Amino acid sequence: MTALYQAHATGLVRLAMLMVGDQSSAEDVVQDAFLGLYRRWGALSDPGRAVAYARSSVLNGCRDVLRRRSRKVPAALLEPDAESAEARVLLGEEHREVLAALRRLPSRQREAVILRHCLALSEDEVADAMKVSRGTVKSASHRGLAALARILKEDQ
Amino acid sequence: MSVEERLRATTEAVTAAMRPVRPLDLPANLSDARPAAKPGRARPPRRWPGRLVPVAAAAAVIAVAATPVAVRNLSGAGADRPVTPAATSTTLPSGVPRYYVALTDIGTSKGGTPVRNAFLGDAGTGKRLATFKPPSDVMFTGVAAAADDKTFVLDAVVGPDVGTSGSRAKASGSLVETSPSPVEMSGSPARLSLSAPRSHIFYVLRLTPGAAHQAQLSRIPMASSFTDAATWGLAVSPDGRTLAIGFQAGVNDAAHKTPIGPLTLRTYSLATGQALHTWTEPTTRSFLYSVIDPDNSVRLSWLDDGHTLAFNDGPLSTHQIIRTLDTNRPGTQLIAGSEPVFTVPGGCYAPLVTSDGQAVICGTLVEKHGCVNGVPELTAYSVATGKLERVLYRGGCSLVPPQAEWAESGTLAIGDILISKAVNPLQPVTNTIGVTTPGKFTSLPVTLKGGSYNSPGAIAF
Repeated sequence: MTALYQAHATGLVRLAMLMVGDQSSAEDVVQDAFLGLYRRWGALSDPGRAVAYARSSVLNGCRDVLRRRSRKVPAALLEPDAESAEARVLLGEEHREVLAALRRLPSRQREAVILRHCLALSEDEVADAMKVSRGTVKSASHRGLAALARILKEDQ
Repeated sequence: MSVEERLRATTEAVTAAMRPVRPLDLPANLSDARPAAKPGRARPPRRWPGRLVPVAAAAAVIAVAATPVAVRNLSGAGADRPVTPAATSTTLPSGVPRYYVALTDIGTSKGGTPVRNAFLGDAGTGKRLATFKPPSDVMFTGVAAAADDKTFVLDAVVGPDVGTSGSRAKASGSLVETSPSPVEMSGSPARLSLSAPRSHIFYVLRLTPGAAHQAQLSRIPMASSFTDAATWGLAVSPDGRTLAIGFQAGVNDAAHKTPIGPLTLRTYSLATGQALHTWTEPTTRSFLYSVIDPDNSVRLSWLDDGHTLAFNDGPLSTHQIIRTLDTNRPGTQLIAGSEPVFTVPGGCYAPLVTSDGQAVICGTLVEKHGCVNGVPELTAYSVATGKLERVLYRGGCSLVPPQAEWAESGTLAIGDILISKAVNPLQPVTNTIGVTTPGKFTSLPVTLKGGSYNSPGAIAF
């Protein structure tokens, strides 16, 4: 389990960071995903797909984080984004614009764009992680990219 | 720039801005993890629940009086041998160590912690020469070897919630040898305090090669018990006379905190246990590692020159950089007093500096179509140029990267290849241990079952 974590933690935390905006929350989500994996290991139908399970769990965890934030914090306060002070310091303006634009996308489009275009996963892998069909991935990522282009253009 | 390109650039920027990801924090007790946690909210329970015991109430510490322990008749055969040695023997290449010590999880205690023995093996014949079972409240967490092929050091954590006792109210035991044959032991039983804070005992195992395989395991008489400290590095000097221990004191549990100490690297005389030199790095961060994980996370190693230590400062800083520390030079600063010599490339798992100091061996998984995760490779990088020099090993699809367990140079190493199925900790797994030279991997008759070996500090040649 430790070896699996060492091999994939960075990639999964990156996914969670793109989703939730800060590394601490992202690490919490990934830790929870591995804890769940650890608990359910004996029941996994295919341990060889452990990484896919973990990715899907991370995505679910990110949805929960965003859901909780949206309940607790007035939406206006989340704009332009909920990134951490640390990220504001470390990331350049152009990258913060992209992250802010990502957060304005509908959740399904955002997930599809992040998994497909930021993390360069295949359509099948994205579909597996999001638990949707391949066709849905295609349409969601296409619409997401178009919307992203529009948002970024508006902001210029 | 297209939207896709901007996304990729932002992803790279986010990756570059990331701090090193903190270690996996699984509970020591599997049952601790069983209650359904609300998704995304519950934090994994801390692994060291015993740390909740107030330190003041845990003043009575352990006195393990069971050392030195002589082990005899090590070459005999026993019916309860837990691992069947390979029948064939291998002629080891010149310079490759013959003996190794591995920590092996043989089950889980009632308390949920691993029941972990240490065994001494012969990589040439595949024979298991001796197995050491710790007292019930003691668990081995790390091992390091000297270049003399006959000196090993074992790190053991002592506490009421480790070892075989789990949450039992009373525990006692002695360091005993369990296989391959019953062996007479000397020494009196350990006396363990119930509410003691966790501490460390370090043992030295000295082997006298020969027909009798005489081995002696002794406690190193250190003044410090490393109370509530976690070990992050362990290395023995080539001559087997000096031990280097990296550790950090402090508890950073949600419910119980004690001051976080500096990162500390200290050398000790193996003969007397006397502290020789200390280097520290002030920090407010805790680098406490799990009690169930082997403890050489920075791959601390001693170079052939006998006075230079090498380590990967990745877990200690924001970048993964191999540093060297000249133990002969004055000074007490760990980072400022050491020299950065190599920037670890991305995707390099458990980088190990070769004992000649000229190369770094990386374990990597290279993406390949048709593989879930990738193809395992052991690669050698030049310290002088920072460039990839050669691929020492390339295997089939795997879920986890391989790991160099010992390396003399960029052309001679011992690798541990974990087969794909091996990531399942609840099922039998197979490690393939072999000598790797450019383009050639020669399996050794070393049978290791379990997924715990593929962590730095779990096996030492």
